[in-house]
Amino acid sequence: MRKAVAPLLFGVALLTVAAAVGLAARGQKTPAAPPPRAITFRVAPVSGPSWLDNLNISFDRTSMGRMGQNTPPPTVRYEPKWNQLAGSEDLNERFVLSGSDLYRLDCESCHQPDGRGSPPEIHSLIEPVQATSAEVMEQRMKAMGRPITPAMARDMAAAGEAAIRTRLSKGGEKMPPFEHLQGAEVDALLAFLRELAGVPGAASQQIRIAEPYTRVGEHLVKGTCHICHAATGAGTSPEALLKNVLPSLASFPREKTIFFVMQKVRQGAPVAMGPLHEVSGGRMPVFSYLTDDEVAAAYLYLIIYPPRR
Amino acid sequence: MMRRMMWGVVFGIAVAATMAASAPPQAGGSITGTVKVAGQTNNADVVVYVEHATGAFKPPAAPAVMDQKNMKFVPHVLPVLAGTTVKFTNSDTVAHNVFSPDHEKYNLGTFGTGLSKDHTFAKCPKFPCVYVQLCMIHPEMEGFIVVVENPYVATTNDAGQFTIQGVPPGQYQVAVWQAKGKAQPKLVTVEAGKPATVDFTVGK
Repeated sequence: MRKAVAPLLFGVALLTVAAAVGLAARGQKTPAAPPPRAITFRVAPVSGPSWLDNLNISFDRTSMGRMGQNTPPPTVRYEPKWNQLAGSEDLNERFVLSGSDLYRLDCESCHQPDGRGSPPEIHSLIEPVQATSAEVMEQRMKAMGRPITPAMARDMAAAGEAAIRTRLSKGGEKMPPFEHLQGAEVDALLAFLRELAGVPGAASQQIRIAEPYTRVGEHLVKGTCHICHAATGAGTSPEALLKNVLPSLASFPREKTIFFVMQKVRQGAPVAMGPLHEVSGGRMPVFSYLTDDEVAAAYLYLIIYPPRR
Repeated sequence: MMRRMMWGVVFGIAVAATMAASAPPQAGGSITGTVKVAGQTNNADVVVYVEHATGAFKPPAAPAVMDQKNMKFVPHVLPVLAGTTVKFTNSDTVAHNVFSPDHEKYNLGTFGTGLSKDHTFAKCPKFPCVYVQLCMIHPEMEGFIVVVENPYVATTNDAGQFTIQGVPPGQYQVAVWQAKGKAQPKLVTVEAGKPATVDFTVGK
């Protein structure tokens, strides 16, 4: 009996050491991602006219409006796959957002997936973001055969970052101010923008944050929907649509089901326009890069924080 | 085309301002001509200048202006007399950064719509001093400040034409600067009240 135990114990000890070494080696190669930062936010309702109304630009004259012209209605009815979604996001739990998620919710509808916008209407954000990296600037000037000192590059990078932060909070002539974005969100967004702009080493600097669904909805509504849709006002009636008035955000939870809104946003849905209630795909672009959960969060946000005039 | 023409007007005003501020009192002659840039249909933005002229030249009291408009430096090429202050304005709706990696190297920082920054070009060791004017935020933007020794300088229009006004009578070596090409300087004799003509071809 004794004879048998000793080798067994030795084997267990060996395995333990091997496992410990293995874990340590793995730990060195890929450090565990830090837990997402949990922050408390004050969620505020959306208010006022759409950003396009502020600018006095007709929806038809925007790159988004032109893109959405004459869309045929989808032929397949949208079937939300709730069962498959179970376990993806849970409204009782905070959503975990990376900078790329914030980019999708707040920026992508205008600046496009690659960040290059639709010039000249919407500027590319790639170059201004590259200007926040001393390394990129030093390399660029070296390639031009006109090297600059590291100190000069650092100065310019600091100014570049200050400029982009100001741009984000104050907006520009055509860009709305993104006042709802706060501290860690801005850091996470900038970290992702650097990755998007190809700044060396940016991929390992990503920040994740955890936020309640209402906040996720606020991002989507304020960063994307409110560009074209006013907070309050007209509803979704065919007569209003004929007058070229886009339905207000407040009208969606009042007049449409959450399923219709999810379909309309993510795949497109037929809308009836004019006195004959002519059915078409409508003019709204399709936002297939959003998730069902994010659209649901926006819908619920509009109920819990009713839009204000 | 219109923009190019407007630039021409801006050059004209800038050069005229330089002239008015520092033209010598005696009535001079002028040097006029045409520059052809090989392989280009547009012959604008070539600086034509008198290499050496006797006299002490005071930079203009008012700054020369280089604007940033529609993501471009306007004018694209700005010749200035040594010691001139250039005011960099921003007429765009986005922030611009103004810097040059040449000679003393300057970085005027990043500034928004309606703001401006000045730089005085007084450190040229050997004329002409060319400063490539860049914006770190918009790498496609490029302009040139060409610092010259005396006020006898002009920039060509689209057709390549130029006129240097108020040159005192005498014999001068006239040279050209262009962003990508070169041309040999030429000897020109200026007589009072009479335009002297000289043409150049800028090649690689």
